[in-house]
Amino acid sequence: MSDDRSIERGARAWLELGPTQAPDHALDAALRTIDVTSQERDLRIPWRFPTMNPLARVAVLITIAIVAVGAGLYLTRPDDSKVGTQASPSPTVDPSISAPARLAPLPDGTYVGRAVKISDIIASINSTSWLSETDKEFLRTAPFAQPDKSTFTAYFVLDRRAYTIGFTVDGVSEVDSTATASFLDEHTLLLQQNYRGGPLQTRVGISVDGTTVSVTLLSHPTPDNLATDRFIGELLYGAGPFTRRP
Amino acid sequence: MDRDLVERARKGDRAAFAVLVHQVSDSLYSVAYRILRDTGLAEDALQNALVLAWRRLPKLRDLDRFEAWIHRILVHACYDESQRTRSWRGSIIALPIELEGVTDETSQVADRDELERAFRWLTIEQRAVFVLHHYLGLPLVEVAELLGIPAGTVRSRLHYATRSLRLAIEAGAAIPVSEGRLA
Repeated sequence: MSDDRSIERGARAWLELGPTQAPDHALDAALRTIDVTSQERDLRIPWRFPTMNPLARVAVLITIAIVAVGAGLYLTRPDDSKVGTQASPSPTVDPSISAPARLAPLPDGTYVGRAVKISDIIASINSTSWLSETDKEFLRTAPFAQPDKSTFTAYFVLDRRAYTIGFTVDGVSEVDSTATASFLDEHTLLLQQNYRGGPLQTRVGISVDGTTVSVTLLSHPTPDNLATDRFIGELLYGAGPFTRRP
Repeated sequence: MDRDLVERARKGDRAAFAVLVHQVSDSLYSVAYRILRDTGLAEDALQNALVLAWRRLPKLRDLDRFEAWIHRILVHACYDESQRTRSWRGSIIALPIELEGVTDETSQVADRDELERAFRWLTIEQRAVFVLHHYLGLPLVEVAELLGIPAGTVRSRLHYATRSLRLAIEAGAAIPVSEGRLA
């Protein structure tokens, strides 16, 4: 039992051994605990108003809009209390204070990167100095590093706050990961995943130029801190600029 | 999985949840045992996962994903169990096995022992990916979705798990289980 295939075969057979039925006493204990445990309430606001008639729904939305506009006007009104009581402010602008960020600079949609030759990716794997030989060996097994394939294209999808990034190799698509997206400002996208009970956050820089978008990995913590993950992340995000497809 | 049962359980119906528990518990326990390699730890992980699933069920959005969702909770319960027990499970020494002149049957047993020992060298995250892929038969993309990590990470973990198993087996039978690894 030495090569990877025979290891996998042997391991599959070995994994079949062992218990396959949950012990009754464990289930009984769990159900007893559940009997005295209350559920967590779901406090999220529902996306729909299922029991509300259409007119009432419109009324609620108009009310929300009026309150939002009113609050906005109130918060942005000139501060009258300072008129005539203080020296005129300096005309210079404090660079640390920026205008309120315009949220969601990217509309929902699918953004597709430029086509990259698979042969270039293989060459990049072979020439990247911070990858160990083992990392390179692994990356050469990936779908985007198969010599009989020709073209790699990265893509990402924004759908409300749902974010997906993946790639296609000769038209065959594979999802790399999904996350919840929010815009910290008009140039920074924050991607959040739950991992081992805590958030795993990736920050992505965004630069919009007409109909194309360039993205840059600003911070990219990975669960195992693997060089291979870093390579794949840079490959995906480096395959821009991305163009929105309707 | 019966969507109606999930919906009733989500609204607080304990009887409906008990039915769901009986439907998924064998699979959950099997996975937990294969990740943790210990019946006691697997039982603890199963119980914790079931109780947590009950508490969090109202937050489950896609009822059709109940089974994947509860398996995800279980894997995280396995992670927690491994953390809890890590400190006192680092001193087991594996004994060498004499392989000369053995029959096929004995050889298979020896292979199993080798795998058992080699598996203990893997990190808990590698074990989880290995079990979900090779035991449950989930494609890597589904493993990634279930664990909430990129598919590339899943592929890496599987690659390194297989490689570690091979190296551990090639290194011979007399491998001390390293400090900090699981039982």
